[in-house]
Amino acid sequence: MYFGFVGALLILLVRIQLAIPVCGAGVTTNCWPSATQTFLSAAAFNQAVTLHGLIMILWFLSPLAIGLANYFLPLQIGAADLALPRVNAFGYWLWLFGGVVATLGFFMPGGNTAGGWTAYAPLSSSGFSPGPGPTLAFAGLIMLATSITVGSVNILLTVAVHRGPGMTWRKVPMFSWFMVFTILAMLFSFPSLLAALVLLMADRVMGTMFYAASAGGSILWDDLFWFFGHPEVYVVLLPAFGLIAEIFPVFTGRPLAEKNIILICTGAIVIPLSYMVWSHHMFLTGVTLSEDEAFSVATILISLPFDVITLAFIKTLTKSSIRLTAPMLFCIGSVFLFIIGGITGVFLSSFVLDVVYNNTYFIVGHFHYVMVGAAIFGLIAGLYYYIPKMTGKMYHEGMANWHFIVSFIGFNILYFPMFFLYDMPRRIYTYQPLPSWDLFNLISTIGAFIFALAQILLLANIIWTLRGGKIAPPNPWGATTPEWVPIITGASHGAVAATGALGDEGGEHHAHHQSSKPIILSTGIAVSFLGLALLIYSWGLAIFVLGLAIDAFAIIGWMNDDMHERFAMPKELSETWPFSAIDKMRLGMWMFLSTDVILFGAILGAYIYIRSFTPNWPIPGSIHEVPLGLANTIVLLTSGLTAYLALESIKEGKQRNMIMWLGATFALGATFLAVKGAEWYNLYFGKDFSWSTSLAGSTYYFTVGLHAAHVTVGLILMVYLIRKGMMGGYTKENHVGVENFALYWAFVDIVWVFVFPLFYLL
Amino acid sequence: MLYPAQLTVTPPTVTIWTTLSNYYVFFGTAAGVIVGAFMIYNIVKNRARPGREAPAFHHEEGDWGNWKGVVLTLCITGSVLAFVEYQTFASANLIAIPSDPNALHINVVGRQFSWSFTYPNGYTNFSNLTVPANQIVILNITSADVTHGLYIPALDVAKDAQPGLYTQMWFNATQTGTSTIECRQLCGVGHALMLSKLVVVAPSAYQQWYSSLPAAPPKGGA
Repeated sequence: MYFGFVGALLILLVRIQLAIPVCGAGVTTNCWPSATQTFLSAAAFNQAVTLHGLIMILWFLSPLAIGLANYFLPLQIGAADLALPRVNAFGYWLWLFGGVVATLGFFMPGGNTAGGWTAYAPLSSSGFSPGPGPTLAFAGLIMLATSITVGSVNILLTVAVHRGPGMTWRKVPMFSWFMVFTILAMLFSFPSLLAALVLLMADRVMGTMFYAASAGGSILWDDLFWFFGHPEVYVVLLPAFGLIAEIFPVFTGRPLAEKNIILICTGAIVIPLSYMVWSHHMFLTGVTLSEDEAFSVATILISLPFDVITLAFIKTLTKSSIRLTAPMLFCIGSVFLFIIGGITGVFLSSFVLDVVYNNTYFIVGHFHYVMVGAAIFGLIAGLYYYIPKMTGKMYHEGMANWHFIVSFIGFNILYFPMFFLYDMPRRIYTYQPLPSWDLFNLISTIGAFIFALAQILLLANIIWTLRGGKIAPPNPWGATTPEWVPIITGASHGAVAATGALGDEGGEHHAHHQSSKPIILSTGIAVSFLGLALLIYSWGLAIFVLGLAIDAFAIIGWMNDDMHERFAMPKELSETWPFSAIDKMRLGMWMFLSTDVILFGAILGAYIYIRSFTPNWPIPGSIHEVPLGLANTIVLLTSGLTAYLALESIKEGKQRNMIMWLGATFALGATFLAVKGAEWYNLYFGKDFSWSTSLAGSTYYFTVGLHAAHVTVGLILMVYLIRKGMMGGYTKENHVGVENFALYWAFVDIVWVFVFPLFYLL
Repeated sequence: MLYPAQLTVTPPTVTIWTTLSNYYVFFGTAAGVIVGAFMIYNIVKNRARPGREAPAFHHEEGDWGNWKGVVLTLCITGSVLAFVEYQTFASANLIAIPSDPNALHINVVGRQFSWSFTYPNGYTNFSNLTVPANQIVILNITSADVTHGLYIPALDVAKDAQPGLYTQMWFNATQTGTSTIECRQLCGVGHALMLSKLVVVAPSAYQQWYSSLPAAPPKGGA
């Protein structure tokens, strides 16, 4: 909510700025005196639009949906809580501090990042956006992307293994289904963003040159970014659709039309279509005509399932008796605005029309119809729908109706004129007077204020409800989904609140269920990023080290808690459900690894891409010691074998053998790292081959370094496993920790099998 | 002035774009109005009100609903979409570079925050793009620093300028006059003011101007 407020404030400043043009061409009234005497300076304007985009999409829209999911998804499927409460809390704090870190950028010398929320490289690299502000913003984004990956694994796990007795997949309510699809759209897209950002951070902080020096570096960013960016649209949209699918049947008094077909269509949208259309953001970047055509067809295909879903929603309005209460009004508004947003989206699938529409207010209008119109209206509908459940009180219906009417009118006054501004480039801080632009910009600004003021009604309504609302019956709408069944309420409310994930709404805290480690860990990460951004000052390093120290403290604390079982789920919560914990952890590990595959895939893809664009790549064998690398490969692969043997030992219940094999794995892993270190020392000081001297250096140090970081994490895990093993923490029946480690270690080995030939042999 | 007053002869790129856009606007508006009207009609007709009995709903359709209806709507929407997509493919010559031996090739470099235009004889101008009317002009575009976007609103043509890569764009200005060249990719603080002028002159005037250019290309500038 707070981030929503900041984002809105930023854009109101922008709309004031754009309400009137700059004086010139005979116009002398109602205009800014000159291009340097406008309401916002060009630099301030660019920062405002950039952070507006980032905050609204990543720190407001998605979290609002995830917040609702945190609360209601467990209730809907009869789970006591999300599968991994501490991981959930970790994700929440990471998200929150990420937002704080990103907004801190405003207070840094030189200001915050100003290259648009798309942060196109090389504009976003340190050569063109110097200073700690942008670094902080990207650090905040990295934290956010990590938070999302962590959180999405958690929600998926909950639905997969924590469904209550009798809750078969066929019975899972629509909102939960849509959240699953949302998560699937997050799961593979955010690692791509993470990869893009980590490369950018390396460029900014360490002086590598992924984006700065490579021909085609800009295209590399575009590809990585939009592979995330387009699925992100559905991440924002689908929770709102889930709420509509939940609310429509309740207020029309009939079942949702074509329920299964809606689910199939949504599935098709997420996988594979949402991952196949990113290049339609890049029609003008110089890709070939046949690529344009292919992505244009893929994009137009995605409108077919949306067409079916929208029509099914509308069909639910036939043969019905519609109660036009606030949740229903906002749902109808959402579908209506989505029709407009969807149709204009078809326009944008045309790579020829895009020549004119690209980066103009037509696009701005289109995606606000989808992401504000369809998504926010749907989410507000969900908010009104669930207020009786969350607060136990009824909101003020009259005020809510006015909220809808003013919002809907204000929204259209704000965004519809943008379609007529189809030849006005976006992100320009001011413009010359032009009859066709002046009027629509002014109307749009007026609409922006109406829309913003309307939201005060929502705020007032929530306050009114909390202070003087009538007590709501347990199921005021006559809904049939499980979250309204009062009997589960008591137990689960506490469980949900304890994760802290509801922010404003969370109230109670249950001590048995809480751990301070996640918040400390994320604080540490935030502090160390702050230090990284401030490395230009001598004390920046101190802050960085302090952050790392806090992290170390938190990780050790987290592990100790586990070893002494200080953090324990109450028995009745953890053991009621049919699936055992082993399945859950293993599944979680697989999901985590699948996102890691995307991360490495993106980075190796970037490497191959950069090589294909760079002439004069060093000849294989001229830089790296192939025999030494080969020996090290054998060391690592052997450690894979010993890790496997450790797992086999504990499967047979031989604890001593397991510890022995784990020790061997540790020794081999440490040897691998030591050889690596020696190799780097030799390269850096002996051969003057550094990460900032050539692209070959940048890619080598980065990719191999990332792999080494994985090896290091493996070593830390092994310390934990060996300690717990010595305390007799693993038995024949309970050895999921070892099994997960073996899986992780196998993954680390396999990555090296790809990295070694790519960097040493080819 | 951002645009020439009135075009009497429409440039081919504008014709292609406008024709295509008309198809989309027609079908888009039609679809929006039909679906929107159907939705409002049902809401008004079925709203709960005193004296109206809720229709008894028989769950005869089940969770799969009327799948034949879905297939039908898919066919209708699909054929409309296929039609407009076909029109897009047919309009690809807005983007495809024509092979014309008489075309005038000009190299364009975008940099923070201006455009420069280099002619075949090596002459570089840092503010104006002067071209003859009624001749195909092919721009080879690149950037000296960050990504820029070259956009000529009056001609409905645009292409990004990428550092280290060349992109191509063509147009044929059919009428003399002046117009604006804009940057459409956020490229830094000067983005909004990164404007140049397109000057279209008669072919004879162009020849005269071109032959009067200094033999040695001026270095630096801007």
